[in-house]
Amino acid sequence: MSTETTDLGLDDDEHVVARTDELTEGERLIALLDGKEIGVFNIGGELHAYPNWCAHQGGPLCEGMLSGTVEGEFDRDELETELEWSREGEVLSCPWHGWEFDATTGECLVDDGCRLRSIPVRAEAGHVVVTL
Amino acid sequence: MAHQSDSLAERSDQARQNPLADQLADVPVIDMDVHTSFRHEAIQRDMLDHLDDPYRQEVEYYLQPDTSSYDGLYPTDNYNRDLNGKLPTELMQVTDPQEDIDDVLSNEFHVDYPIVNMLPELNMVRQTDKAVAFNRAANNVLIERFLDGQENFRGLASVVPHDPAASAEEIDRVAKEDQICGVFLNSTGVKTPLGDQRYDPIYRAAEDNDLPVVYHGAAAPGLALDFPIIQHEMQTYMANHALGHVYSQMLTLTSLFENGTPAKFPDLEFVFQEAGIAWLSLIFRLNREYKQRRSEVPLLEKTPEQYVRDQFYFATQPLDEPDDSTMMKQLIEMWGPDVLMFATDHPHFDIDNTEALLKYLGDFTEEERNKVLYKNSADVFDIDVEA
Repeated sequence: MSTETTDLGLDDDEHVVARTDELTEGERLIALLDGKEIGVFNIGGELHAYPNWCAHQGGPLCEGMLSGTVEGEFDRDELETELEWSREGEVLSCPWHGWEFDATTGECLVDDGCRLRSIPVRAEAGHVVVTL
Repeated sequence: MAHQSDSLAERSDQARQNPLADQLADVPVIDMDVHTSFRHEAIQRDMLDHLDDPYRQEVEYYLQPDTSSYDGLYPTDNYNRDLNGKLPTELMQVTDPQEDIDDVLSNEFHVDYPIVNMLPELNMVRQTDKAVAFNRAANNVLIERFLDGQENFRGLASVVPHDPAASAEEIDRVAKEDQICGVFLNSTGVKTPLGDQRYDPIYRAAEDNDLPVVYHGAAAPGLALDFPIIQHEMQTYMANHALGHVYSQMLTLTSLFENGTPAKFPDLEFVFQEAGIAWLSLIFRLNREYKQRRSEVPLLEKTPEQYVRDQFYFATQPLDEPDDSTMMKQLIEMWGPDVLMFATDHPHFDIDNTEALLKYLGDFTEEERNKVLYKNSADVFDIDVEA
C-alpha cells in the first residue's frame, strides 16, 4: 500500500487505514479494503471495526448515527416508569431501518441472534491497522 | 313440517355426523368463552339484589312492563343484526347454568368445563359510579346464579376500565372466590387503549391475585368510540362484525406492547378471545416495529413474538375459514398448540363446535390436540381437570 505499510512490516492481510491522530475519540472512517467497506471507530479511545453491511438487510450500518439509547425501568410499587438516556456515543443505528448495535461489542440490541462481525483493528506506531 | 328444537340440547345424537367426536368422550374439554344473557329480565332482576339507589331504581324502572322502549340503561346500536330472523344473534337465552350451559355444552359440544362470563359491555356507560356499581353487581350474579353449586364451572369476573383503582379493588374482592379464574375486559369502547399506564393498577392486581387477564373483542356499541368510521360510515353489520373484533384486539395488543405491559408484569398472562387467529400476523409486524424503534419501548427486553409465546394465549373462536382448509392447519402450526385455547362462544350466532376445531387437528399429536382442547386453559386458569 504505502511506504508506511512497508516500514511497519505488515502482512498482506493487514492494512493501514489512517494515522491514529486522524481517528480521534468519537470519530470514524469507512475504508475500502480488498473491495470491502470496513467501518473503523474510535470509541472512548478504543478501536473497533465492522463490515459496513447491516446484519438485518445489508444497509450501510457504519454510516449510521453513533449516539446513545433509551433504557427504561419500571417501579412496580409506584407504577412509574423511568426512562434514561444511556450509552451515549456507543450505540450505532443503521440508517436504513434503525436497528441498534452496541458499537463496542457488535452486539445487536434488538435481536439476540444477530451481531456484527468484529474485525481486528489496532494502533501501531501511530497508525490504525485493520486485519482482514 | 321440519321440527325446530327449542333448545340445542334437544338435538338427537343421530344428527351427529363426525366420527372424530368419539375421541372427545375421554378428553376434558374446557370452553373458555361462554356467555350469559346479561340483559335478560331474570338476570336483571338478580342485579337488583346487588344494587343501591339510584342505580337500583334505574333497573327497576327498566323492568316495568310499560317501559320496554327505555333504552338508556345499557348502550346499544342500530344494526339489523339478525337479518329479520334469518340469523338469530343468540341461539338461545342463557339464564340457567344447568339447562342452558351444562346440558347444552356437554351434549352438543363435548364441553366439560365451561368458563362463563357475563359480557356486561359496560365500557360505554359514561357514569363511572354507575359502571362500577353495575359491574360489581354483575360479578355477584355470575357467582351466585352461575357458579355456586356448579363444581365444573369457572367464571371470569369483569372489570370496567373507567376507574382502575376500583377495578383493582374488585379484583381483590372476587379473587377470594374459588371459581373465579380470570379478569374479563371488553376490548371495545374504552376511552384509552388498554395498555395505557393508567390501567396498571388493574394489571398489578390481576398479577398479585394470580389471575390472567382476558380481552373480549366485540362488534359492540363501543366500537363507535374506538373506530367511528366502522360504526358510522360502513353500511352493514357484515362489515362491522368482520372488523370489530379484529381491530379492537389489534389495538389492545399493540397498546400492551407500546406500554411494555407484559414486561412490567412478567408473571401476568394475557388471553384474547373472539377474533380468530389469522389476525395474529400483526405480531410479526410488531416484531419489525420493535426492532426498528426499540428506544421508544425500552421496557421490552425481547421481541413481541417472544412475549407472546411466553405470556399470551388466543382463543380459536371464531375459526377463520380460508378457502383452502389446509391453511387452517398452517395457521394453527404457526402459533403452535402452546398458545391456542378452544372456545365455543355459546350461545352466540358465531359459535364454534368442538368437532369443527378437531377437524383441523387431525395431523397434530394427541398431546398437541389436548393442549388446545384443555391443557393450556387448565394451566392458565388453574383448573384441576380429571383427565
